[in-house]
Amino acid sequence: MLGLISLFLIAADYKTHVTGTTRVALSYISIPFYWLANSPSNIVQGFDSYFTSRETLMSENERLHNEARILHGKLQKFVSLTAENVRLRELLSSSTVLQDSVLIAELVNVSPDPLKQQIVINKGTNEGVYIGQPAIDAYGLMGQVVEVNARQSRVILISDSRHSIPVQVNRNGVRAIAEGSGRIDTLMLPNVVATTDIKAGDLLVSSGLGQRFPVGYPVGVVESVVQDPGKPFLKVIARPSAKLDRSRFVLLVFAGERSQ
Amino acid sequence: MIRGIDSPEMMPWGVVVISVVAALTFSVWPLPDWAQWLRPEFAALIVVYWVVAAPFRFGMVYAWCLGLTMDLLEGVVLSQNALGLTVLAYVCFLLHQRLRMFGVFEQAASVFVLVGIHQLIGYWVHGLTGGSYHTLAFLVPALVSALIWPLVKLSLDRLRL
Repeated sequence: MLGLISLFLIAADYKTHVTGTTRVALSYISIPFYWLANSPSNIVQGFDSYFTSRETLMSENERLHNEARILHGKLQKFVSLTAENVRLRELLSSSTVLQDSVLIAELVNVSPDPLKQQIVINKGTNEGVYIGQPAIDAYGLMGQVVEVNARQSRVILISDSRHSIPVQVNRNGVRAIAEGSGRIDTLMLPNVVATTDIKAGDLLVSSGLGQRFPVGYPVGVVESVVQDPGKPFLKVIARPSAKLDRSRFVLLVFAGERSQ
Repeated sequence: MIRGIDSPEMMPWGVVVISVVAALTFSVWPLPDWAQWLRPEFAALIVVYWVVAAPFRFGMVYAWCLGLTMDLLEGVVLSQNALGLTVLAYVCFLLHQRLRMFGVFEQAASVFVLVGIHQLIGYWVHGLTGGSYHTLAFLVPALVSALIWPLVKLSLDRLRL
């Protein structure tokens, strides 16, 4: 009997959306367990920051100031480049994407199921997170939000075997789809025709096709291209740019308004 | 050997609740990436323990509820764990008299098979709902669970006193 209920639930949850709201309501159960599992590392971090010496703090402060200075310098150039880009696009009368705004979220949990590449972050609908929202870290695209309640949301990573993302090669604009492989350090590009100009070291950026991810965020770097003469397609393996297994902080991107 | 609990008054519900909370917490305990496959299936272990100890108090309904909570914690399709744990509880119920009489190492060997069944069902549902990962690695947690079984059994025996 319970087995039948289970099978029914699997079907309902996988094929339809009827369980959606119940799932969101039930997902609050998980908050205390995540908190409990994280508490030791939180306590250690608390102690760490409490007992950090004055010198360490001062040197860190100095370092961060320098970093900020350098980044500001780079940004000045970036601003003029952006303006130029917008002007050129206006000349071509094509649409441009304005600045994206972001929300910083902290990682609460990594999916304990090794078959799943998912993370849980501590921002939810209270902060305006929505399903399908892209998530990035400082190095590249991480994934998208698949489940959200008021205080937490679940992000599927680009390396999950059930995720794929439209990309293009930054060098020449060749389009492809990057599929997750189920391993955290590998993406696969299926159906790349054998004559395509793609080689190891190429940067893949999001192409914005599919209307889900914003254009131009780095997705991965091509690691190997193998051509099997008997097959019509290349075997292309890429490594994600984002530090999927290291990042503690995640940036949620709110796509900017589009102007004509 | 596991001492059976045959009268309702003897059922240590406090210990059950503690073990369930501990199992769920350890199930989401952060582990480094290389150790992901080495995490024992704590929920399956305590289901085995309580069904064998108290087959008429802790049964399939509790196992199913526990599994559903696990599904929510892991963010997998609903019932992936619940189905596995229900079947696990049923098999344990059929075998509980035999399992009670086994020594701790024989029990560990049985736990490997039992948790293996649970893992197999979970893996099957995972494949059914569009996942893919074609290795036998899903049996590693069953092995680790069998290795940790003596520890789980001894600590729960102690707590019940």
